[in-house]
Amino acid sequence: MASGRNNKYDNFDFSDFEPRQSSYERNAARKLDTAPKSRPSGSKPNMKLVKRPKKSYAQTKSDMKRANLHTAKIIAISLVLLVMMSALLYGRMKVDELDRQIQSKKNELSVAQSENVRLSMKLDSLISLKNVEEYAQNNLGMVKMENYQIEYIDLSGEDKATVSGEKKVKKQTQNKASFISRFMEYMSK
Amino acid sequence: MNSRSLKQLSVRATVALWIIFLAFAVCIGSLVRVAIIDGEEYKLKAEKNQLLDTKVSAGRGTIYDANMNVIAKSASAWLVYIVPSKIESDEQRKQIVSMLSETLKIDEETLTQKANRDSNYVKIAGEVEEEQKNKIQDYIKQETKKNKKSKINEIIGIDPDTKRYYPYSNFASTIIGFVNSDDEGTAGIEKKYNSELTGISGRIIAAKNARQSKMASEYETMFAAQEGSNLVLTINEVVQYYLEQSLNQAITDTGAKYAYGIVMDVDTGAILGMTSKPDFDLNSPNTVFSESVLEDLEKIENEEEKKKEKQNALFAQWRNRTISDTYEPGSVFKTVVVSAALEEGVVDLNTKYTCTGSIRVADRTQNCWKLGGHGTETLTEGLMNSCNPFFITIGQRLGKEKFYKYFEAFGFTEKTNIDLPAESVPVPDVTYHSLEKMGISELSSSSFGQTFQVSPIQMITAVSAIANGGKLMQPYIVDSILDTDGNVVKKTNPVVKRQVISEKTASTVAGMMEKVVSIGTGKNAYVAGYHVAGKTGTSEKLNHKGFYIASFAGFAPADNPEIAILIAIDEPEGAHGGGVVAAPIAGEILEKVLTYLNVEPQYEDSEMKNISSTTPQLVGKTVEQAKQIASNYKIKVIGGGKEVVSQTPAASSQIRTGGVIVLYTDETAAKQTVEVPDFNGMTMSQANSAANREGLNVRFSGTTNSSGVNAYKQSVEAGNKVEIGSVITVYFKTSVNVEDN
Repeated sequence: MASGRNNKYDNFDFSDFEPRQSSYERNAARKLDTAPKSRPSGSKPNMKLVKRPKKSYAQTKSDMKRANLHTAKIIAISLVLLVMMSALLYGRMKVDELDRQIQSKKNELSVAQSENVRLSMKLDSLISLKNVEEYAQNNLGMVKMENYQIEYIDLSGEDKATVSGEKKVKKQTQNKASFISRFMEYMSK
Repeated sequence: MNSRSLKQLSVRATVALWIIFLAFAVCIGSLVRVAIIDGEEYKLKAEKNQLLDTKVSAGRGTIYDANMNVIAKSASAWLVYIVPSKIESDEQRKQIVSMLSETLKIDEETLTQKANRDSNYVKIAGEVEEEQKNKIQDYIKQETKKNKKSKINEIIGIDPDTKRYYPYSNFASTIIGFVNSDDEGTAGIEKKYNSELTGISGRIIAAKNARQSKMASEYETMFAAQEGSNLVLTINEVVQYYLEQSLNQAITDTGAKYAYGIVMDVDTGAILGMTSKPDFDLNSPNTVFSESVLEDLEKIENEEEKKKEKQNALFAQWRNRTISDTYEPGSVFKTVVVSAALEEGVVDLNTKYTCTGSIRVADRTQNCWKLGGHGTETLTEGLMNSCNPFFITIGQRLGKEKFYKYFEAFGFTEKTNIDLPAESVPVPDVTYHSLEKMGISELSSSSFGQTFQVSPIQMITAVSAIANGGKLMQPYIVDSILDTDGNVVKKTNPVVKRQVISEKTASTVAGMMEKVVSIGTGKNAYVAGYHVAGKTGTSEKLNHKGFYIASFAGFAPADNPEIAILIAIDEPEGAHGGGVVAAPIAGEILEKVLTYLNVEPQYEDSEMKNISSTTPQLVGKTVEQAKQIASNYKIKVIGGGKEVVSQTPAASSQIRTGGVIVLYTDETAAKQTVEVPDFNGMTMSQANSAANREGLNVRFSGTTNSSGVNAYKQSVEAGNKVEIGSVITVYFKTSVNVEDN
């Protein structure tokens, strides 16, 4: 039975590999006293060993090589998965970080907008009509424009010009003549 | 295996199967309970545990005036609260109170009371601004740094809040209203248009991470907040400012309890200005501003009663009396009676009546306000004199059915439906006489505006109908509603309720009302260059004997009306006639508003005399030449030069002939100033002399074309220093023949 490569198993106690009794069975045995008696020590178990087909050295080597390749594949896939997982986690961390930055900037914007409204309202209140009028009258000595200061010009008549004071209006032809004579004088120089 | 063992195995297998079956049944039962029966509850619990649901508040809309000036705007702010139950010692309590008091400007006593409460949440202040919030946060950081075991960050809490800004404080406060701590409109436009201004809150639903904060945006579902709409009012900042300025002054001058006024566009019914004084600061609506009311409150010892009275005072302060209060219109109502009578043909312009000072009505004698009587007068004169017996006769000729028909048609039996909250509702036989219960006495007294009440907004709407050719308009205050991008969502179109009187009748009555202002009881509302039409009114309060309301209602220009005005002075001290108290204020406002609206003045020859002459150009002339040219003026030369380098007033200014022109002959010469004299109570010639004595020019405003006129106001206050030669406008009014009742 134990021959060749399997001789090394001859000294093994196969009882160690037998299924252990469950506590339930042990308890039940105690209570009912009907449990099967334990096998006397030293007796050999009824074992059947499966014979493996004999392999050549080349075949064994080939098997080992395939096994190594398989292991390498698993390691490689694991590594790829690990890298992918890490990348994913890193990506998530980055997104989370950026998300927090966006939120923070949004908050800053909101605060800035509120501050803008507050200052605009303060400015509006400072330049209200009441304040402007009071400042103009009390600090600048200004007087509000009144109707009498508006002068209406009647354009319903013929085109004419009125010059205040004693200024005399020269006729247009005279002006033209003087301009031409001045130009001629300039050219003759 | 023997049969016994097999049997045992079979029993055991059956028991085991049953156990497994029962276990499955329990599992399935639990599954059904969790998934179906209590499914919703567990779903919510799971969602709550896994999801972060954040409410995104919608910003409240902005309110603009007609010129797109911001009147109310919201921004985010902070709410500060404390958890008094976590305060560890009295010393800590004292420190917190002191810091909060200093930062938030709240008195320590109030804060100590709050900090002593045995509570887990006490609000300290809302609408806290960023700067104050930062100070509080710095304090929390410092305290935590000092003592790492300190629970200060659990004791003081800061939550987001919003703040509503009203930049112009009291400006149109009774119209705009304000919001409460929940950002809901409590009064005025803020209340009426609360749903439009509020918008719809949004939500952000996102997955929570281990730190209970939001996870990446790919798990986020966002329902964007819909911002509140913006409102554009018909209120014009400048018109409103003039109205408020004049009515504030009126309260100071007359000692009146209240003063209210409305300026309306006669063609559309748009309200350009509306105020009820005294009013309040929109930024602190819960503060009582009236000093007399505060004094009265201080006298109350019982805390409960004091609290109640303070609340009543606040309600009174927030009240928009132009729409919520009613008053007896008095003689102003005669314009409605004369319109009805002319429309029905019971009188015409040639109708004459002899007033003997009283008239017999049923078993009573009704006196005219002028006990001696007005004598024989035409219909126009009757209105100008505001003759009561004449109008009692007109009312009786009209009859109660026709009187009531026009009373109803002019809108006195219904609300105007202006888009403001708390408009008073006319109640038959309470605020006015119903047709069924109107006897000859009620008809007679109603004919001259007594024994019934109307609201100021009803009265000005009726007067506007006379001004615009007989159309009764629905007044409105919101011109348009805009979305956040400024697109018009809704535009208010003017609503003509009905044609009350014909255009011809309206034009005739407008002409009569112009006479009331030019030579009748309303002459203090006269404005040179503008044809003002109007009617004064004085009425004794029904429930407050011995106290009066003086009013004036009118429109301008009379030949092409643009704006209508109503001014009411409630319980003035001393003089209480509408012609003396209310008409000058209406005149001042009309002059300013019509100038602002670029309505061109058209002066009559008689008015031109009082206006002035145009100053000549004297700059560049020698002093001698200047004196020769301006021989009609008093010349004052400053400086040692020979040639005029500048002059005051400038060339082409209009001053009265004989006024002062100051000539400067030295560019380095300092401008001389003089103290403005007090013109109050002076006649026109006295004011002119006083001004000339000081080297000033004077311009006359108000009523200047009738007898008994005296100055009551001046453009530059007495005692102020102005440049020599300046023009001071002095306002005049008369107390002769302006009484009415």
